[in-house]
Amino acid sequence: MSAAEEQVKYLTEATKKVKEHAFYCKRAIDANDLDTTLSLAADMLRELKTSLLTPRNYYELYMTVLDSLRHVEDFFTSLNAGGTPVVEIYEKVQHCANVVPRLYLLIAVGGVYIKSGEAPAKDILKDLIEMVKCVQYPTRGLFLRNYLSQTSRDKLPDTGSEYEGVGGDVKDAYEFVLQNFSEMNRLWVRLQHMGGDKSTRKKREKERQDLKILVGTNLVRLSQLEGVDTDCYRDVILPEVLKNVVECKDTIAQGYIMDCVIQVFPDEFHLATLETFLNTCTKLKEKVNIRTILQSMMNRLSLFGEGEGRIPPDLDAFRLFNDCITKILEERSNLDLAEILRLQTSLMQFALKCYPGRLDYVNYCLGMCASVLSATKSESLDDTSIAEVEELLSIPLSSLALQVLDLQQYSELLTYLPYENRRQVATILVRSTLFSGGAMDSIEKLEKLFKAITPLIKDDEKVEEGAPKQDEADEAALAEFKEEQTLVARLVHVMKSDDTDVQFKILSMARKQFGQGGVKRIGHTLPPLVFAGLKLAHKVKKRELDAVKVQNKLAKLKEKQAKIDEERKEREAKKAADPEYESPGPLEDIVMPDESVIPKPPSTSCRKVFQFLHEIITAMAITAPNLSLKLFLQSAVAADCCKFKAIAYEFMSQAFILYEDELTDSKAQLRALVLMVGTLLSCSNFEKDDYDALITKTTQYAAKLLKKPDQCRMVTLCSHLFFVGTAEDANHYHDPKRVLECLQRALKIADGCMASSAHVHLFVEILNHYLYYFELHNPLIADKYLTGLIALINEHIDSMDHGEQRTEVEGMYRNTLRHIARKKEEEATKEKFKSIVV
Amino acid sequence: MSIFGFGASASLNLTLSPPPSNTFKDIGKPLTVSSTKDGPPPLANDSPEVRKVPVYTGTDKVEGTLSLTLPQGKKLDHLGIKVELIGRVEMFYDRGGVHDFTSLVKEVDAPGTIYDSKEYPLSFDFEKPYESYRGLNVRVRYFLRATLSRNYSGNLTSEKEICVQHITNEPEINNSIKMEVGIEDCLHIEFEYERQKYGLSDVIVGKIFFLLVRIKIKHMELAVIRRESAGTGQNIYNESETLIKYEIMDGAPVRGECIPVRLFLAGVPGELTPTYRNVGNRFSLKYYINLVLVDEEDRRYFKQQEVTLWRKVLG
Repeated sequence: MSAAEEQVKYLTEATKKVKEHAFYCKRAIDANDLDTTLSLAADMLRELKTSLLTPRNYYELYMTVLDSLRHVEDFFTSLNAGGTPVVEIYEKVQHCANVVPRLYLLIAVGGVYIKSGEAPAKDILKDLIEMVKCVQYPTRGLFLRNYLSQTSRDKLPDTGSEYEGVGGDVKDAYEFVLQNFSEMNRLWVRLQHMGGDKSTRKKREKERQDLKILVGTNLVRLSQLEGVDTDCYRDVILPEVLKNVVECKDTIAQGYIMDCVIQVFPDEFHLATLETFLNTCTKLKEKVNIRTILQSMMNRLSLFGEGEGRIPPDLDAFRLFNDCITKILEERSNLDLAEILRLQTSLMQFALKCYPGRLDYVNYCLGMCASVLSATKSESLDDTSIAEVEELLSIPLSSLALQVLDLQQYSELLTYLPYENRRQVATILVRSTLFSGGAMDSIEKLEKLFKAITPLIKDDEKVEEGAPKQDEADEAALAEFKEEQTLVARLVHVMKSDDTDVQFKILSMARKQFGQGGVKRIGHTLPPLVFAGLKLAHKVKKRELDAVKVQNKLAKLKEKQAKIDEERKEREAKKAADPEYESPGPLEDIVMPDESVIPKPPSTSCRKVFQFLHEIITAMAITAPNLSLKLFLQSAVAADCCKFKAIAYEFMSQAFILYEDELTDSKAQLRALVLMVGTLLSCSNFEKDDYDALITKTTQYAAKLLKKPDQCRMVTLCSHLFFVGTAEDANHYHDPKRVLECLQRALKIADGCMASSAHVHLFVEILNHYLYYFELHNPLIADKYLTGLIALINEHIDSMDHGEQRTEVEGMYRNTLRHIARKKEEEATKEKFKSIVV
Repeated sequence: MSIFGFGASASLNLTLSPPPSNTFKDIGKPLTVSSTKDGPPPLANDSPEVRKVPVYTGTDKVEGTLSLTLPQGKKLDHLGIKVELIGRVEMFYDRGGVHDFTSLVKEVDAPGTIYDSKEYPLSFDFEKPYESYRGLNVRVRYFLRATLSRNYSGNLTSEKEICVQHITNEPEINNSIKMEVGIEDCLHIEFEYERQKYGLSDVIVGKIFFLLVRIKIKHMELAVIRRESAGTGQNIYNESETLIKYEIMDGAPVRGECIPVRLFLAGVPGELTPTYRNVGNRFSLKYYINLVLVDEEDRRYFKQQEVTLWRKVLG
């Protein structure tokens, strides 16, 4: 039979006997026969004398017995109600010759005795706590005492309890519980030393774990006593509990009870006794995991600090914890590195939560770790330690974000991590930087940041070039890489300085850093830099203009002043010549603005910014032609806006070169052309020759597109490049002939699209453009073209197959005709549209 | 009444007045907790009612009435009527023996003829030196016997048992029992019982202090032993009986542990009596408490102490 089966058998047999005795016992109770009841109850309780059951099974049996024992308790109560003094029963149960059943019965009567008020509660409790000493067998003793604890729970002479007064006071109550706790702890510890070899030791430890709650319950009782206040806890309860902890010299008990103390007592108590508690921590056995104890305590206090409470300012909790940790590190040479790191991590977390402003605390913890790490002789850290350092470095990020970079120790610690882990930390750092919303407004800050996030900026230098990079094939890794780079890119948005010069320096630095990232990174990181540059360009331009304005104003003022000076000299001359000369009035100096208030021209010129942009975009050109093309165009618009004609032209031409050299995909070409046309249309400051060159080139590109409909549409679109602005605009550009050429060319191309029956659609579109120019009074766009085109469309539209395509075209055409009809009606346009034949 | 028509005969009947204590006691069975020991044979007329006998202290007067009942119209010739009070030790071991330590005779009527039923008041005022006792080998009894002597037919007799108990004052000197015992390097304990002398329903209170524990103790018990020693010299018959084994500790204590002892003598079965040091040089009765430690291999370590019992109240 296996041990488990045996257990089941023992338990079943014992339970059966208990139930049998309980049955007869109940009958005796019904017959109101005290003597028989007692003897049968003793028989039943005798089953608890067994040593065969494991604690779990013993507990089962115990619960069964207690169920029935409740009837006996009730019987005692009813006897008492019927006039029997409880003291008589109290004596009678002690006639039982067996100690275990005798004491269970004694406790049962004891409860009734206290309730009856025949004797002071404290006396009865004292008697009970003394008598239960008779059971020294650990398991039986623990359960017996648990029964005592349970029975007495609501009968302690606690402050405010009905038993207070004659029954005693809270002192009697806590002394009782403390004694029970102390004895139970001793029994529990003793269980460990019940003999046996190594294999049974493990078993014992397991059994003890099963029983620990019985010991811990006493602490819960203590915490429930109303009369125990902070003073009492500090002066009596805690010292007594800790004395037991230290004296029992048992690893399991020390760990468990310390944890219990932390969990069951209120925060105020802990704050008042932190020093005592921590002192005890240093006295625990070596194998006790002090880290978890300290961690729980720190967590507890942090939660308190975060909630309603405040850690009192006169309590230097950080120092106390730190002293404790220092002492432990001194005394315990067997702590492994990871454990030390964990300790420091917890302390740092505590500091972060409870002392948010105290960066020195955080720095101190980091420094401790750094010195520990530097002291370790081994070349590389083990995986757990690496994970710990990573954790250590990640934690402060969420609350401190960029402030960590002010901590000297932070970057030093980073160097202990391998590339991969540093990358993880860097990712978190970037994330929290973005989340914190703080601006990167100085070079110094940025320098630190970039140093810290180097693993995101560039590849690990230690990895050899030829080494296979497996992560490139891995999709998940690729996705992660993209995400990281996006994060880095987002950093650009927080690089903000109000001073354009500083901002330029910042961006230049970012450029330099990003540049190290290689082809795969810059595609992500450089574009935002370009936009930041564009933004900066506008700001610089404004500053330059402001500076010029102020200079002009100053010059004027100076001129005035000069005049006044001259006048003054003249007057003095006159006075010298003619003493009778009367000045027409006093001459007052011009008040010149204070030098320091005068806005200075930026030291970084706008031109320089554009050079910077040019360089960046060029760097990307080969790897991301599409993107670069767009950025060139974007920059061209900006440059044009700043009236840098040559620069704008340069950008445009760069875009065109890219178009020619790199764009081979017809769809991409089409998109690029649309953008180019758009860009050209939004620029207004080109030299005429430059503009001619650009638009001619664009139109040529359009005519060379691969697909006919594309050609047709783009040529149509290009026609607009030749007709910019209205006649009133200063820099309008009108070349009606070219417009007509474009449209006619387009029609011709559309005519060639007959096979795909897209031609009708194109005709209608072209008609619309004709209409547009007609309305804008392009002199070469005559009504005859319109009439002819309409006739052409009418002719072709009827031959179209019925279908979606035709419905669409018809809709568009109908709207166009309706527009013409409306124009024919309107007064202003009546005359002009009259000649168009629909 | 005779059923054979010889007419009713005369009868003699002793009746005792209720004793001053108004206490009665069943004295039928010997004091033992054992079911195997028989003890001495039962007394005559052993029925529950008869066994309820009045209880007297050593100095109480024994009073009563002797009634002589004659059938109507009959006369009775006799050679005198006397009443004896006898205190006797009866031995059942060896060949046995009976020793009367007290014998008091009272002539209640001179020889003559009685024509009518008659009652004689009785009163015995005498010292009763020992308590009534029913042991396994020895019995101490007191009884009254009335005898009407006749010369032709047999005598008429009537007997009545009484019970004597001595009430003692609280002993003036009552020291505690305190002792340190042990086995070298194995076990050292110190025990202390608060007193040496106990009333019959007192509580033995004490404590056991463990100074050194190197054996694996399973449990500890306190036994109450009654020892009856009858005879003298070579022919001493000892009868020891453990009345109760009262478990006072479960499991093994560690060094420094102090275990309380509390034993209610009222709860001890087999009816306790006071200690009898010497009953007419015939026997003695002593009580002991025996502290027994049992180890896991069922070896027993014990220390026995005599305690003196005394009686506070009758019963």
